[in-house]
Amino acid sequence: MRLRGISKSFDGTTVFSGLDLDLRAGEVLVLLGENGAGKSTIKNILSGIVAPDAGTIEFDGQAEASWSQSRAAELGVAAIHQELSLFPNLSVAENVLIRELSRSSVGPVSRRRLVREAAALFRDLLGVDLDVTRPVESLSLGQRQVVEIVKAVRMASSVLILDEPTTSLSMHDREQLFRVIGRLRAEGFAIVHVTHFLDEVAAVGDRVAIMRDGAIVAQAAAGELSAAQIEQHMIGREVAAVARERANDRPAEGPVALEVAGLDDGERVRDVSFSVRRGEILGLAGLTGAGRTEVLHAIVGLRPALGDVAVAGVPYRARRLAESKRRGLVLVSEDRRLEQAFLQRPIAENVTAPWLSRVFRRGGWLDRRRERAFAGALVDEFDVRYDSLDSPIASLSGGNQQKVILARWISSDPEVVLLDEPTKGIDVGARAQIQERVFRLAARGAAIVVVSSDLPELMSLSDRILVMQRGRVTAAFAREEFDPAAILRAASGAGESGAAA
Amino acid sequence: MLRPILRTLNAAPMLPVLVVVIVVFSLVAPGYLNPANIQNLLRDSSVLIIASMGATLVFLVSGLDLSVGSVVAASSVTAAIVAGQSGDLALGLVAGVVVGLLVGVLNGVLIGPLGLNPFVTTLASLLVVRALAYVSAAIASGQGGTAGAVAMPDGVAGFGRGVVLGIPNVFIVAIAIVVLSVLLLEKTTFGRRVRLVGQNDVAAAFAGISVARVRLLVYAIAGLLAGVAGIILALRLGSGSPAAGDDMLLQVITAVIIGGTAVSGGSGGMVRTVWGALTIVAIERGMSVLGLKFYDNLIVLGVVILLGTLFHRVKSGRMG
Repeated sequence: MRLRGISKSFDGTTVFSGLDLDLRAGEVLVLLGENGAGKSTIKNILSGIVAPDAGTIEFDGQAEASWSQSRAAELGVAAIHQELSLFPNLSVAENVLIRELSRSSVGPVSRRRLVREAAALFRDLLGVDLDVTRPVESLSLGQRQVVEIVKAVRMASSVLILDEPTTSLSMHDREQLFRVIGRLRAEGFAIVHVTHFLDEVAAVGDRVAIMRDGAIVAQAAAGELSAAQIEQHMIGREVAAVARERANDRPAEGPVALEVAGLDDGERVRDVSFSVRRGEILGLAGLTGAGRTEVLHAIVGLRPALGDVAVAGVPYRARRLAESKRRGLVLVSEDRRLEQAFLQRPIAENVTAPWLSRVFRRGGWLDRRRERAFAGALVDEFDVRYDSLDSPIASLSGGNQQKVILARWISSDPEVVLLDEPTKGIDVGARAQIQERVFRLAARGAAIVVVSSDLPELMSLSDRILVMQRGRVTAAFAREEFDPAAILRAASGAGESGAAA
Repeated sequence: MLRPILRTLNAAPMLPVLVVVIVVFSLVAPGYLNPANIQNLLRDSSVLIIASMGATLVFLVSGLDLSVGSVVAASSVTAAIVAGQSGDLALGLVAGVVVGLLVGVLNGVLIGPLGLNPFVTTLASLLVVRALAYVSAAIASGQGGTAGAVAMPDGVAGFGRGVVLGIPNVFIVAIAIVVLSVLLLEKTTFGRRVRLVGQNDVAAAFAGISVARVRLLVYAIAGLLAGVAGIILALRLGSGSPAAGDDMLLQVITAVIIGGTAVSGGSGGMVRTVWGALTIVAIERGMSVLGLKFYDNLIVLGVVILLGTLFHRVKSGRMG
């Protein structure tokens, strides 16, 4: 498939003009770029959702006069979109074969045939035996992504476009996905793999195209460009290295700020103990479902658990989130859209939401002027790009949304900050800024616990790493002992088949 | 030129519709615009506006209060009974408001801290409160099985029909309540929390906002306002009527929805509901001037809901 001289603009804003891109059968093209670089629009043009303003689309050497969604489907071009499109209450089999279900609107559906076919699909494509009769809502986020992929692959016969498929996947699921991609490539698919993760270029790519501001700024065979070169192409300036430079002016041996002893909820958190000093960054590594998120939730009181927590030496027994806030213990949870952002509410309101009564109340009245000044100063300090403080936070890119959320929690000058996947799904530029913020926060004397599935990031951020597996802390590494292979081994450990199911 | 128009449309989407309704009726129904009819229009809308303020708050927190009509009726009956038995009008009015508050608190406790479904909970309180209103009215009016209206003490009608500078007293009360509601929603931290919980209750919980307490307060306030609406109704009619709330629920929900407050919570406001309520009453007055009956009103109400929803859809589609 071939794009020639494609131009597209929305509401007068030019996304790109005169763009060329080739997809070749039996090749994986990794499409890299920051948010807003135009990756999603390319995906939408390829799959016929959006029509280009100018330019030609060729398929198999033939110019396609009227490219559309149905024409794309006819030729076997399929895309997996970032937002999952599964029906949570239907079974895996029904979801995967949804097309067949809707096509035969008359006549009974043979359940047994359905289950058999779906199970065969998973076996053939992934080499995995998944119970396809389970409802999708009972699956983990990673498993759902796999179902989504199987569903799309089933509809595709020539071109497959994956839009950031690995964002929510554990390391294990990710490798499984890459095996699937390899298999599809061998079958002659042209694959477009849209991603933020630089390491995926080497892992699955044959060729890499890097986008910035609506143009393809570099194209090369995978392996020709180093990670640093790719980063530079993506952001166009030299901030990528910032995160790797450790700020060394932090207090080396501060007093203990957070002490956790024997935390146990009898299920996902088993006898977890650790302490974090002021100015220290503690990383929690582990596979999806290892209990890292649950530990953070138990500490702030979102999850009932036995065991002792002390903040700055003061025991904290009846844990509740509102009380945690008061004690200077804040959690920036993982799922920004569901758990943190009030998407349709203004940016200013999103910053001040937890601090309404403490900061912005004058005898029950809302002090709006103070609120605006406070929120405005914070989002400027965090370099958030926005039109107006009154615009809904949904109008920002993911990275800017995350900066707003981070600004919200750090604004109270907290004692302890728990960060759950703070850079998940955001672009390289914002990621570097957020990592730098984390360092600065530690330098100011906060104790930080960070959970990240991006191991290089975790190693660059942390002073110490604890590895969790099935609710337990299974290993600890000091900074000078950091070794990706050893951490991965400790995280996956024995009994890996159980984690895969 | 276009910008102020769009801004007005955004803040009060029903305003142009109300204008069209009034213009149309003034053309087809002679006498529609005479002062007496306008006064009646404002009087008729007062009870609806007050009850709708509470309902708007409930919608904003993505809840639902089906009991509002029953509470209005029960409050009017209570006010009439207590005022009649004690001979003290003020005591009767307080009793009416207290009944509303009690039902509201009960709804709120069940839905907030206990986490019951708002639809089911307020359906139950609708039925119970409605039955209690009918039973107590029947006993008080001494008519055994058939429940009629319970008369308020003499002299009450004076306030209900009175006007100040041509504006009906009851409408002035309604506007005062609207002002208080706007202040509560837009100028207090509580109002902000209502919007945040309505927009995303999970995120509100993660921000350390007590979602259950916000919900409890919202239903309590809605009950309180329904109680106030009930005593205004009693003052206006000169009696407490158990049947009065039967189509009040439909009118209240219609006013909030066509006013432009989202059923799904978070977005909307008090003033737009006022325009919604006035639109409904303007249509009803027009119909009655034309000599059409209650059932015709229901048909029009249904059409208005659909057109109103369609209107908001088109508007939001165009304006982004």
